[in-house]
Amino acid sequence: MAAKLKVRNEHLDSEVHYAWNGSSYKVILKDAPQEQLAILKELGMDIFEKDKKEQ
Amino acid sequence: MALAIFTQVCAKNVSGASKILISDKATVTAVTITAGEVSAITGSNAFMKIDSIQDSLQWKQEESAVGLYNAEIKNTIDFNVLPPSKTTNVLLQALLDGSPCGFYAIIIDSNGICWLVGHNATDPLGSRPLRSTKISHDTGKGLAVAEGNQVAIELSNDCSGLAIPFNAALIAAIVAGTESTFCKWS
Repeated sequence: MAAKLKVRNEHLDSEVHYAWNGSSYKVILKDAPQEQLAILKELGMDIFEKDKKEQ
Repeated sequence: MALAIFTQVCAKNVSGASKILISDKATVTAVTITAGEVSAITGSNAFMKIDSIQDSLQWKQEESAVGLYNAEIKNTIDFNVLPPSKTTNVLLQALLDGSPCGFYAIIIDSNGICWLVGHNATDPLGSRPLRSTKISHDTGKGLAVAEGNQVAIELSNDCSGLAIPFNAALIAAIVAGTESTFCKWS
């Protein structure tokens, strides 16, 4: 099972506008479900706490 | 948003804009907004520095009421480049080719503030980008025409929200003019 993505504290109040599969979405990071966070990670956003393996 | 006290900061103000960087819409995949400022841009080498003639760059943001309840915000960016040549044609052709999909721009104003133009907090990402609305090349008549043989370019859009400034960290990265993940200077 994939590790749960955790947004770093300083980004929790941020709003991300992103494009995915031809559609546009807006999400406030503190409310974002894991599915959306996974998309943001795939887009290359550097907003996540690093897991122990990455550190 | 409710009205609140507005206090003017006592500081020097400088008219004009100094630099423009333009991105194809498709290369910006995410914009992060924190407390009313752009705090991150996701996109590899998205924004390309475009050299414009000194004091030819102008960005205008104009709000107009539409009927009683609606508002429209129009952004217009004008700048001149030179000389007319095959190299300049590469830029012009890229603007013509990219216009159907649209562009975003970073404007560095003469106060040193950087603005993301073509996206705002209201419209979905990419829904109302800038488009190339005018390209004009005029030789001018004779030697006494200051703008003779310059190519005038206009990008514009109509949208629902105000342009957003970048936060201090990103402004520092942009105005430094060094390579960053989302700006290409050379």
